[in-house]
Amino acid sequence: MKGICGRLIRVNLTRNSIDVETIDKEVARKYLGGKALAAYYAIREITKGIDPLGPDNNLYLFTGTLTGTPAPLGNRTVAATKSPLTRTFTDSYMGGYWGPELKFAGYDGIILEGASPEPVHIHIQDDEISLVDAKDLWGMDTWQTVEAVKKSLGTTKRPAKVMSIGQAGERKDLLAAIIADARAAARGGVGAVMGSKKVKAISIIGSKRPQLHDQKGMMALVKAQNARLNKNPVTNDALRYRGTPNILLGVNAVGALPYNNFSGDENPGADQISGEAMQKTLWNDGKNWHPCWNCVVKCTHYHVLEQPGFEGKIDDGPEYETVGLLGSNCGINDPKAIALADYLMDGYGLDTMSVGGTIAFLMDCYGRGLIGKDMTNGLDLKFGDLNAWMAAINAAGKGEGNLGRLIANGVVKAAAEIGHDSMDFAPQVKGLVFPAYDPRSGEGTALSYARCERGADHLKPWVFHMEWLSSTQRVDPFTTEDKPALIKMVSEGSALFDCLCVCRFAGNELNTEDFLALVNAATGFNYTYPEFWAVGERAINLARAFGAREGFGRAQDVLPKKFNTVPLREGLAKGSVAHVDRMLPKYYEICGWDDNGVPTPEKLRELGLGFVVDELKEAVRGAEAARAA
Amino acid sequence: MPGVSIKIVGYARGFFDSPSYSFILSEGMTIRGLFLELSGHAGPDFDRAIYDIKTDRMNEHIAVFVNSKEIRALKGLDTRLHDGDVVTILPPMAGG
Repeated sequence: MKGICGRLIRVNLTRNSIDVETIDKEVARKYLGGKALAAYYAIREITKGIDPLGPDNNLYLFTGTLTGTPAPLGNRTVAATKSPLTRTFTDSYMGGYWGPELKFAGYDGIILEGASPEPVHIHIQDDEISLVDAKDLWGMDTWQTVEAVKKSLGTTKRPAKVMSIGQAGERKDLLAAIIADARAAARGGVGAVMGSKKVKAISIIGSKRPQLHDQKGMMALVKAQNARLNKNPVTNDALRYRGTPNILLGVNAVGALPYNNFSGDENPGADQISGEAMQKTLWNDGKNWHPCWNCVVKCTHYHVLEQPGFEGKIDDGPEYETVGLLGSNCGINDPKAIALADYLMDGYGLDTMSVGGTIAFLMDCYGRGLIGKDMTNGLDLKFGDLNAWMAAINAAGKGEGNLGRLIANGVVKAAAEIGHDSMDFAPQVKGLVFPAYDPRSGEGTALSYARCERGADHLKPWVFHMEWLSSTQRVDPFTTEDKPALIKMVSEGSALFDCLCVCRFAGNELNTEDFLALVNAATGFNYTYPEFWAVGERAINLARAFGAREGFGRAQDVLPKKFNTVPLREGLAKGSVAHVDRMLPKYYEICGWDDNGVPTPEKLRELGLGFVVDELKEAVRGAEAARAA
Repeated sequence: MPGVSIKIVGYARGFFDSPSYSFILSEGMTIRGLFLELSGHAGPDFDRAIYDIKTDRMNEHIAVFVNSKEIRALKGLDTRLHDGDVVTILPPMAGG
């Protein structure tokens, strides 16, 4: 096959076996790669009801159709599994270099199944794949792990690209991430699943390049598309010099920047942590670029840490979501402190977004008197207290005390333990902490969070941009009638990006027609536009069906009470609350789902997913019985 | 105090001599009229970055709100302003 390698590595950690299997051409055409392909394997291979941290769960580390090809920003990798945090299908993405290197070694993905009794490191060098004892790596942070793995490999023709987990993944903390190249596949506890299999690291050295169906045509497309990305004011200026936090002051002006556990107030100190501030204080006027593979946008910047004990260490970022949730939402407006926290989280292997959301929630609970110092490791855990905040971050990373345990396992477990009315203001959907946009700011954002199959998500799809920031793709944030169709359309387009594993930022300039042309040049699949678009819809229906099989439906497609009842207090969206209930029935209807949000047999068959119908019969019967009762 | 308040956000502040302004509202004032007022407070990049007086065109990549409504959902440059209105100017942004 062209564009993709057509091969997967399957590692059974229980049996200590390694197999290379081919991807059927029709399967590749129907599911492309990334999200849809991982969801296809997951729903067939992961049995309903299994323990996500047991040996029966699988972890799919897949590239996309355009990963490692010359396509602009084609560098991403997905980590997909049954989430131990949400118990839904989860797909978490990372940029960087690891995914392209896997393609260069001749594989589209790795499937990890079973569980090893002892820690292992998987090393791939083209056709040689080995399981290496990793007892000496166990206990290391991700920075130490990468260094030790590279040292163990000795001199190599190319530097190995190393993916690893930190101590959080080893402990199977529910907020554990997988880290590679200082990028994180963080959400949903994918690092805990890797840790449950005792896989500490996966290193790759590849010497090939994916073959392309139409090399000349592809390169002409790439040249023209990169030229457009280099002219767009967002990609060639805002992201390039002010990174992802370029939006922070805009989000704050809307009233949507999380501040003090989504208080609904603007952050009065936001100027200190904006992209404009980071450009000057951390990033050498925005020129400390550390781009992902084959990216002309270069949104990621590095910062050289100065704090005692960390002098000279490099932090990539911090990115907007980290600044918004780990910083602003905890009342912290010190960019250098946030950069250090980001570095620490990457080392421990934790999701900065969920950790930030959970610390802020605990600060709120402490302020309301719902928890005392017995639950905060003795800390006076107040919003904006830099010392308490840093101590909380280290407690989470080291798994220390009640506080470390509460933070590292997420906001729902914490709220369940704290009780009272805390679940009403715990900012999450299906257990996944909100991204750094208050969903009261726009009905599209609210619906997007509530109905997303893996929980509150800023990329499935990112409609906040359309509701507030974009001047060219604008929708009214306050109307509900138009949002079901909008969310269906944009989420399917976003899912397509996740099948190709192309960075979303390419979408600031390039559209799905551009990507269709790239995919056809790379693969020769000769898709029509409707065929191509259907892959995105197929991906969403597979992920939705996976959740439905586990018992997820309308009852889980909700925002916490506070966000439906307490209005935003400041900003352009002042006075607004979310109205998800008004939108869900229409959304389900146009998606072809029943009134419990479960894909109907007709919709599944229309998408060529007839094999899923039987899997869902029990889910449908259960929902009908619940309604009858 | 009656009048119109202007809030310039983020990078767009670099085009002006202040991050915020207040203007006494003149009869029938529109966004176009406001931009003409603002041009006196702006640096040399104003025409390119915000509004080109010669061609009467606003930079397509900026967003301008009157209270909570973006002016493209109102009457664009012809949007009338009223006492107490807050105008917010956002530069091109994306990320997350």
